[in-house]
Amino acid sequence: MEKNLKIIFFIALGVSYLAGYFIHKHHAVFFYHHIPSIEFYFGIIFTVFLIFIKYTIAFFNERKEDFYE
Amino acid sequence: MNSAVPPGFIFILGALLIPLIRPRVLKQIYLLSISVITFIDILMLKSGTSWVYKFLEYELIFVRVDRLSLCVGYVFVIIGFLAILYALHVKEDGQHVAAFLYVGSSLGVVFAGDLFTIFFFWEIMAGTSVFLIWYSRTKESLGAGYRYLLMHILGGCALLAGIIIHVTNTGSITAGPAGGGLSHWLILLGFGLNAAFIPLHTWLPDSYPRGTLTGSVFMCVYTTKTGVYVLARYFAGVEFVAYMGVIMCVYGVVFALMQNDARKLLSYHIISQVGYMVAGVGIGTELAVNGSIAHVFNHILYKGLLFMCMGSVILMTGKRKLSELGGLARYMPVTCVCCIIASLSISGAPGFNGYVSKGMVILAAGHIHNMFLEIMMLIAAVGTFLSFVKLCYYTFFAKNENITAKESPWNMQLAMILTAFSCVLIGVYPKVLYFVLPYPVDYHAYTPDHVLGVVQLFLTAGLVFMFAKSYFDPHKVLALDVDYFYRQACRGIYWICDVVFNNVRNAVQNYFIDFRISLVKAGNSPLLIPQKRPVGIGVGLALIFLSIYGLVFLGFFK
Repeated sequence: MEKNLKIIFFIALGVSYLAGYFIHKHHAVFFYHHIPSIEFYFGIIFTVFLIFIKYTIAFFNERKEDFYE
Repeated sequence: MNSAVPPGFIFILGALLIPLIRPRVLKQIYLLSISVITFIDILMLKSGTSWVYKFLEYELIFVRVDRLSLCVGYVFVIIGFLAILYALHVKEDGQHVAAFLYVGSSLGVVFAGDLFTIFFFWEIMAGTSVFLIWYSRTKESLGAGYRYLLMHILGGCALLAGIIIHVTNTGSITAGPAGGGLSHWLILLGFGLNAAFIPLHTWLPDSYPRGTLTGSVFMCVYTTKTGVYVLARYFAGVEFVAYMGVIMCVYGVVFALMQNDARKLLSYHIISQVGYMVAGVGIGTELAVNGSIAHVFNHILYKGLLFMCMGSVILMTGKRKLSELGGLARYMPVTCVCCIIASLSISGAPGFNGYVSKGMVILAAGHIHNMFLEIMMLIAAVGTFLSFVKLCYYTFFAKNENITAKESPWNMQLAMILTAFSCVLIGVYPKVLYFVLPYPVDYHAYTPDHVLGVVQLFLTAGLVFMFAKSYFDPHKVLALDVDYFYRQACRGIYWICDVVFNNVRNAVQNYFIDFRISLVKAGNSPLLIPQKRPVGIGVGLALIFLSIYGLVFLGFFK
């Protein structure tokens, strides 16, 4: 079951990436709107960025759960 | 002239009768019927102002009806009905009374036609909603309630000061503040505190997770959304508001990713989602304001649903931390499906309501050629998706052999199913929503490029989650927010009052006691006067004060 879901996931990933080369933005305003499948790259970049930011902030602000008690 | 009653009054008067109604079944019917009556009342409202009363030299307007107030009014009553249905099993009358007064005062703000009336209902909102926190009856909820109240009193003071300055300058209580003067910023501060502007947001993640399970469903809806509503009414198109909105978007998401407490995670996501609304208001175009109000409508539904789902989980398991949950999908299938629907809605997945409104706001940022706003909102969209993959995974699918649970009571399940249905309905058929928005809608949600873009964004974010799942594991830690500095500042003020001022007071008091004793002794034996120091200083002080009084009296300080 889990393996089948993974296969479907990766097929969807590949199909959506290729589809980005055939479907163009109606409201292309910024330069990156013209790059095919730009959201594909954004998804990876932003996730890595959020992990980085989360861990950077956590380095300073994480305390024990009973910190205020 | 409207023949209908101000909608807020129905809830407020309805609240007063709750303790008098017996038996329980009749009370439950009564509780539900109030929202139905209010909804019919709103349908009967006609555009314009009514219920206008003279107060001093001003006209207080209790009902101002336009498309903006009607749209927000509809959704407030709809979610009011669903939240009451969810809370129907609660036996404590006080909780129902507090919730009804809270809903009524929120409706009062929405339909108020002037700043004084807004302020009046604004304060009732703060004063009644705090009881939904205190009814948890825990030490944490007591403290959180006081902090909530303190912050809202601060916001209320800023708002009142701003209104007074504005009225003094312009003579009008109906027109909004304009031009960036002191009144503008004070009123923005008052409204912004309710909308959880950074760094005034700390009351929200502090108090909402500590409210009662049913009370949090009410709280997640009204306070922040009335904040957005008044911003849309008075601050549309203010650039600062747009930038504040996107900062809220990303800030809320980053802090949500750090949370272990399920309801705290949801609370930070309120800040993030309200950020989209605030950004839309700040952008100020018709599309942006439509998107903002559409997001208010949708967010109320899916966030209410998320709090309902987590309330059910906490009620049935007694656990609120993601690190202690897991494997509940097989025990609570209805809650699980509803939570997935709500998660997809808040993430903005195609087919669900969040997709429609979030797309409008992001597109509006593109229309004004502001890349920063668009990128920040896209980052927040990815973060939202990741947060809710985390929430659903660690609550319902992660392995946990030590947990068993049953489905929640029928009324909670029914409320969740109806709310989930409305999320899907608006997602599939957005014209239902377009029909009630403030401006005419010229927006097509389901264009191939938009659908594909969102799908790509989520699939790749999901891919990274799959391979880097350990980075999202919930940990038993506390992530400090800026309230740490507020608490330190308050401790400092307390120390100054307790130690410094008290010592000064003691010293002065002792001085005058000595002085009095010296006077008594001097009365008995005048020859002792030179031997007692305090008499000399006391006389000296008396002379100084008398001299100052004399100078004031003679008008030297005019």
